[in-house]
Amino acid sequence: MEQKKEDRVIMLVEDNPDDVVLTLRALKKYNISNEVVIARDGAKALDYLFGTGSYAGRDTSAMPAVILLDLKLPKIDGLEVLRRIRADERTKLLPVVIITSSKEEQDMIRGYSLGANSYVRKPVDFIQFSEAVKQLGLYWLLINEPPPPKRR
Amino acid sequence: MKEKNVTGAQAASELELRIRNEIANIFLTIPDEDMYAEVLKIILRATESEHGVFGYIDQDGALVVPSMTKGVWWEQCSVPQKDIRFPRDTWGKSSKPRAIREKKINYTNEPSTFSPKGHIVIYRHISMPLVYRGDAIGLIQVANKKTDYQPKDIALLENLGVQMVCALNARLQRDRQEKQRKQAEEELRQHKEHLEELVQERTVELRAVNKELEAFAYSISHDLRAPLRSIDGFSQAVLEDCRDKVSDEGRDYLRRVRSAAQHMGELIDDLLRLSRVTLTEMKHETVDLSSLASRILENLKDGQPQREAECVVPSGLIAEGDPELFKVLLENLLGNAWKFTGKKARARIEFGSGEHEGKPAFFVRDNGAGFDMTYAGKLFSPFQRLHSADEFPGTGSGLAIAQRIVFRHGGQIWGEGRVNQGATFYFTLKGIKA
Repeated sequence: MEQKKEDRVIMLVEDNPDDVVLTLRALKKYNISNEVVIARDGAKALDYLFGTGSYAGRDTSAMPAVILLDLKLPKIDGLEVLRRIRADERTKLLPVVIITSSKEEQDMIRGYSLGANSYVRKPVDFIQFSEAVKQLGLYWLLINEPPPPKRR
Repeated sequence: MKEKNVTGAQAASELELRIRNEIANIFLTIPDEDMYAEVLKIILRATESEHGVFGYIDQDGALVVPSMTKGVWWEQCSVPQKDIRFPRDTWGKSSKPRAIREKKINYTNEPSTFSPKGHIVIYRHISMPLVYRGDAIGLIQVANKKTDYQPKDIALLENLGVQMVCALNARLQRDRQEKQRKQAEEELRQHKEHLEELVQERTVELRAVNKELEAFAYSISHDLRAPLRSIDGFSQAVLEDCRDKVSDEGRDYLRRVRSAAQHMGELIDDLLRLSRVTLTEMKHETVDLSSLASRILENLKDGQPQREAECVVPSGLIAEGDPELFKVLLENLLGNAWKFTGKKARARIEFGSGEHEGKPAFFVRDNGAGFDMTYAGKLFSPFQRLHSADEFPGTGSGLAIAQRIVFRHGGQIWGEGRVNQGATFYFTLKGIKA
């Protein structure tokens, strides 16, 4: 059964609490009221996705519609999170948007070659920032058709 | 003595002539220190002497004796130091040093009382210094003729000495020069080796520093921008969410906070660009600067199509260097020209090449706001501006970046301008410098 668009979950992997607040605020501002799962580091994000650690027993057939992934993260960094997402059958088709401070060419190249779907730089200007979040939310939650859920 | 010399010369027998020739021949044909032994052999034969030495005074004033009659007596001789070099302070008072000190021949048919213990017994001898322009440069001693030495022996030896002294001097000078040359060569070789080591060490160090700098720049781009996003973001949040609770003045302040945060964001980006221009590895290619400049000017025009601007770029301007860096260089110079002509009704921007002090130089010329030459020294310092941000926006990093690019290509960059009469920036390029 197809998931309703408003039930789609956004996953935000971000360790900076200010950026979390600002992202949530931007989503709210544009009436994107979908549930947002927040992971403060790479390990937590992987636990959520694979139902391990503190997320042991989570129904892993329910996957986020999009993962907004910061690169510089405690414990396991963003590129490694991305690599593991792409390496696992259950998550390899999930849309992943890298959203980071870094405009480093190397990071972009590595991000894309590991299979990132988009690469967005966080601008200092909050108006630009929330515009970017809005576009992302609209595209990945409303326009994009997510991959069909993996059948058990 | 002089008289004797003359008579000796007059009486130069056929034998003496033959000896002279033999000696001259040895000087000419034997290049190394074997020469001394060969000459000594002839002299011993001529004076019917059993033993002898032939040596020279080295640069430190020591007597060096490459030739001594060796053989049986050498093994029997129990003088402890059998070195062939005798420093001046070890000479003692025997007839040899006396001859050198007095620069005068001496001889005796009495046994020597000065020979060190263990030295072979000298029962008669002649010691003759070889004096060149007032300096003793060598010594010949003959000893132990079967019969007493006669004045004719002395005369013969003196004549031979007169003949030999010039040749010996030339030989010593040549040997000294040779030695100096070899020493210099050796030093040079060592220097070179050392230099190579040094270069290698420095390269390793530089690589490490570069890596560190890159890591530093990376962390700046991440960590320094994050708080700026918070400052800007929450200021905007207050402006939007608490609109009614904040006075006009308060809103103005918040806008200033935001604009400062954004400006700092730009400064950080420029700082990174600046460091990247220095750290990036350079390619070496032939670059068509004309078409590069034309493309950049097209882009600038597309950005502000309403502006009336005459852009002049002759074709065929070529340079050797890194294409990416050249692009950044021209973007900065032409971008400046575009920016600072923004208030002119008719802007004119020219890219070209010419000669400056006999060297080829490129230039970017505009008829814009120009600058006061008094402050020309500040043009290329990072984040120095000659115009206020209200007049012309910018962070003041463009020319600093341009300068670094030109320096990395071994060139020079300088600007000429007058207030409201335009500016010209010249640069030369020599090729790639790492």
